[in-house]
Amino acid sequence: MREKKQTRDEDLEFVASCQAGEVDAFEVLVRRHQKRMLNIAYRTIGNYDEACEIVQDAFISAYKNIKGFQGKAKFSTWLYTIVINLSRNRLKQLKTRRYREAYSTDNPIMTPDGEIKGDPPSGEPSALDRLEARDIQQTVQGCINTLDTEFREVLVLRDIQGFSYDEISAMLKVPEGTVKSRLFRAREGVKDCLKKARGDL
Amino acid sequence: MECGEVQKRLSAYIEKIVSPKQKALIDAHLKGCKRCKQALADLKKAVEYVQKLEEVEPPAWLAQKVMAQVRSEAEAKRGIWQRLFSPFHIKIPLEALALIFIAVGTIYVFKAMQPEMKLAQAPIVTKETAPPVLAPGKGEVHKLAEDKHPPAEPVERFRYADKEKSREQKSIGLAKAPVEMAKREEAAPSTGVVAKDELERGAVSSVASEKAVAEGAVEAVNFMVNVKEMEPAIQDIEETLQQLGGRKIKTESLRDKAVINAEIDSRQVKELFNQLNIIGEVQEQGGTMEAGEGEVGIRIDLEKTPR
Repeated sequence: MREKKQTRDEDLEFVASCQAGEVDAFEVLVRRHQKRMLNIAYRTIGNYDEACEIVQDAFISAYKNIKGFQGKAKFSTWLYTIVINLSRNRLKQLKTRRYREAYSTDNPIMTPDGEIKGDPPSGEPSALDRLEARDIQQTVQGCINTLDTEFREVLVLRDIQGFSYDEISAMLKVPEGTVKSRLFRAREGVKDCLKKARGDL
Repeated sequence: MECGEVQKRLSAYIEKIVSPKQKALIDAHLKGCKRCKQALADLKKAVEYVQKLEEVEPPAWLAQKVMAQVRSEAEAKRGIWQRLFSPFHIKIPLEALALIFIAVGTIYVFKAMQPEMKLAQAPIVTKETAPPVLAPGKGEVHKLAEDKHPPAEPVERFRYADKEKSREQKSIGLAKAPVEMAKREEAAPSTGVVAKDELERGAVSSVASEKAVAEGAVEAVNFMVNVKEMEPAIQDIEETLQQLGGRKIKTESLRDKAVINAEIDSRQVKELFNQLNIIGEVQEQGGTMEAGEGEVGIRIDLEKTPR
């Protein structure tokens, strides 16, 4: 907790400098938060390059609007909310453009419709078999990618990034109860997907 | 608890947000149920996998690229500001523009006032030739201002005179509602409007003065009379006015109100007043009843006594 408090204070002094027009102060904030932002974006969207783009856009957007930041919330919360929103929008765009196939490089066990491939009728090595050889990490990410956007978000924010329920609630602008129920469904979804992909966990 | 129920609650169970009672039930069930135990284990493992996902590192160029964009953003903004407010070569055009706006604005205001000014010309001219109306002991007299205005052409002067006249009449009249006064000022130049207003509102004396003046009379005296019956009262008053040598007797009547205008010799005003008191109840009066020189404009507002 203490660390969090420190972070808040430290951010604010640089935010104030930026608001006063000191551009260099912004670099401190960029370096401080870029990793976490990238990971949020990456785990949500499932694609590294796209995630990098999103993080850049998020920072630019933050800079443009920094004068409007009033300090009601933590600066980082505000910043991460931007990333989450941009990721969400990007996902929506990509889904309608049916780029899921391109995604499949990260996620070979998925069909274009997002279904996990089962055993083929013939004796060929199944996608699942291939998957077992793959890195568990990629599998897990693949399973996350099968989730709908709102479930992905909470899973990433809670189980990967470790934000508290009320922080997530503030970022996603939904009540805590919703955060929890989404989280539970997300976990079940990943569990089911992993079981299908790897048999026993 | 049954398997289905338990499995539904496993996530909450892990998070420790089930009620103690539920926890006890689930614990008990899990002891005996292999399937649910397995389900719990699977769930825990899945969460563990997710939590163990490795963090990725941002590329080295990311921060630099962001800052480059941010800096060009800052430059662009500064450029605009500088151009707007840099000392000379923009300041002068800006000021010139401001001047133009002010000038245009003034012209608009001027134009809006034009019609009022034109109407003001006629009444003012006649007014100038007459001695000003005085209210003995009823406040300040703006006579001086009046005298200063020769019947001159400039429109501005007329406007000013108009204001003076209105102010005078304010002090004269027994105006009850100052608000009405202000409105009268506005309406003053257009005599037609004034007449209508008066009829509808039950006139305040000063307006009558204005109207009398507008119509070319010298002074104005007005009365407000309550009567029981309109028609007979009107006839009586008209008769009286004629007897007193009144001219330009004009009557306008509405349902419960009437206005009678006339010109009589100023020496007859007192007599008129006495007669009016016989006909009805004189509520208000304005103007002077002192005998002066020449004719005075009379305005009598009649109102039917409410039952």
